[in-house]
Amino acid sequence: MIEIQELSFGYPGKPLLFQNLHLSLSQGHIYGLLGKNGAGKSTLLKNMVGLCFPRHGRCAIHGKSVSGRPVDLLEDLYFIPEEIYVPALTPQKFVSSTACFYPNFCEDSFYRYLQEFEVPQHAVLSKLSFGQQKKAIIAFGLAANTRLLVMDEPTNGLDIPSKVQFRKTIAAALTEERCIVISTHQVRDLDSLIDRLVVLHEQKIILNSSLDEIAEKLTFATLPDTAGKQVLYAEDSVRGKQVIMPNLQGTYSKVEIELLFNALISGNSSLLNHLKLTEYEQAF
Amino acid sequence: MEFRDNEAIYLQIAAYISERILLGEWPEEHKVPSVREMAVELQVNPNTVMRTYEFLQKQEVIYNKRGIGFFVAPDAAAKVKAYRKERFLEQDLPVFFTNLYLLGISLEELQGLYEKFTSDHYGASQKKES
Amino acid sequence: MSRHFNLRRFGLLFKKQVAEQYKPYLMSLAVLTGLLALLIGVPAYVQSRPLVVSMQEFLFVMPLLLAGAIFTSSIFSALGDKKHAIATLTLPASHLEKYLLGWVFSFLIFLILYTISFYGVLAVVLSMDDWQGAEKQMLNIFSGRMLRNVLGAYAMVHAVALVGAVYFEKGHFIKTAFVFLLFMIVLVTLNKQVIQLVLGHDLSAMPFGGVTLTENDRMFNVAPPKQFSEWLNSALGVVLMLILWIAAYARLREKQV
Repeated sequence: MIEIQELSFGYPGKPLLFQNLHLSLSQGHIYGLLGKNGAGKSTLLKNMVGLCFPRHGRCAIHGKSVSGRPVDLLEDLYFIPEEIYVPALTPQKFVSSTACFYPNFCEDSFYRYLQEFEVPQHAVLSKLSFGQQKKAIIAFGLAANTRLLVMDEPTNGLDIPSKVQFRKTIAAALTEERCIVISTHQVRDLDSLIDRLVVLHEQKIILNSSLDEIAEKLTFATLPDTAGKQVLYAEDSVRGKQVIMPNLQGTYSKVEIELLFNALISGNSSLLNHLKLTEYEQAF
Repeated sequence: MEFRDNEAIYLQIAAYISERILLGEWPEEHKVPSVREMAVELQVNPNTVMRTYEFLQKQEVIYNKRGIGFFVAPDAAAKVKAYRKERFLEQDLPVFFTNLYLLGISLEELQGLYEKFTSDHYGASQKKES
Repeated sequence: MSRHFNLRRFGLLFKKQVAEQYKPYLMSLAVLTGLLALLIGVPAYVQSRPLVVSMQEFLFVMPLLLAGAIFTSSIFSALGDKKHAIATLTLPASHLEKYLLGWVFSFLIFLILYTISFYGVLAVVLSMDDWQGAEKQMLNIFSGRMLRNVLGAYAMVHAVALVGAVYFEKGHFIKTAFVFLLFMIVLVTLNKQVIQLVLGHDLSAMPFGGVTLTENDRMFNVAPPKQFSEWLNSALGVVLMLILWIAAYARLREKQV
């Protein structure tokens, strides 16, 4: 669905955030985009939806460049930034003024989501708390039924019940036609929701694979000690060492996304090599 | 549902469904919740639930009626038990035996402990098969 | 053509703008009317003479240009605010439609509402003035020459302000006014210096105008024929205005957040 090729981008007068970056995202998945602070997660998302234009390379949705912000692409994508703007309107008036721009907008779902998120229907949006505003916009974005839904830190500002409701709503919203991209550094909020992991590090995408593929190649475990084991990465924890090892038994452990992320950005090349090597072997 | 740390989520969901079946909550021919319903209930990615259902289908615990959904297969409880037994014998028992050996626990000592455990938890009269 | 302009979509955009902005717009209109009442009412009250047409003309044109410049400068303020800019730029409408929306509001609608407001105030004030027996006279801006001048002047001011509105992220009016004044100073100075250099004489010259120089106590005025210079000036004005309007559109298309 999204093809990013040879992307180089930096804001005018600023150093490059991405250099020769490649990424391709397909429908039917929820992507979790991870990266350190300042790695450029938000900027990458903005490139995807046409808010920034590549200095070099190209961002395309369904084969069409997003740089000119063509209307037919805008009609089929919804972007929810971390900091959102809401007009001084009630949800009802907001829908009547804005929903008409989205051909597949479903008003019934919008009001259902609002109810599930417990956002009052008759209150003026700009006077609600940040969390309430965000939920209203998430409800709108989901109801717009666009094939691409991009969210930057959507769980920021949500209270605990809202996070639960958010996961339920997103789980229900994923269809085979839809591609949902979520950037986050609160992995625990979303780790059971995303099925593909994208890691942005030092101007490049260093990982884009499904959690299943990762679990096939790597085992995540907590061990009292690591003597005699082939350990790719280890971190001390209260219960012993949290480790990542090659998956030799063919069992599936739960992918510890935080551990994996730490391992990847620590410059651990053996881990990345292992992920890539097995891919190479499997190709034969 | 709280997911544990050590096992892939799709397997934990499979265990959750197996438990429903073993406890008799979902009898044979009972309709299993749709992928979407299950994903929403457990707050997980629908693809993960799909993977669980494919896995259970391969184990012949559930089956797919075209266009209607998934149902608990005939003999599902027995299949779940067989599968669990196999996994226990293959994965958990070797670890258990290693500990017995390392700690020098004899089989007689173990038998006494086992009998006490079953009578405490499942009552004297009840047997595993009942 | 529907990719760049679709009347139905433009209508929706217009409706959305009214729904979201009608309150600040109405308040601005109220303030404007109040100011006009003050500007027209005070001289009419203080002077013992009636409010003559030339005075009315002045009171029409000056506030129009100033208020128009301020309002136009703010018409794309949404683009200066990151959050609002994201919502505006990702809204499924073309750049042309979004640009035209700003243009229509700041040019057409502003002109119409200003004129209505001005004549409303003027009519009330004139009806209260006793004119000391003279026949009441009311300014007519719809006469050919007046209309052309007013439209021309407003379009020029509007074009400059619109470019500033898209270019700057905040403080649009002040920054635009500042850059414009700076530009004029540079233009006037350069114009004079270059001509002096060419003619080797101390002289007075204005851009797009003639040159006046004094030699042996005699004054010479060098200028193209009056008709031609008028034609040239209006042609230059129109071209400049179009360039500025297009520049504002181009800048909107390139806006990044």
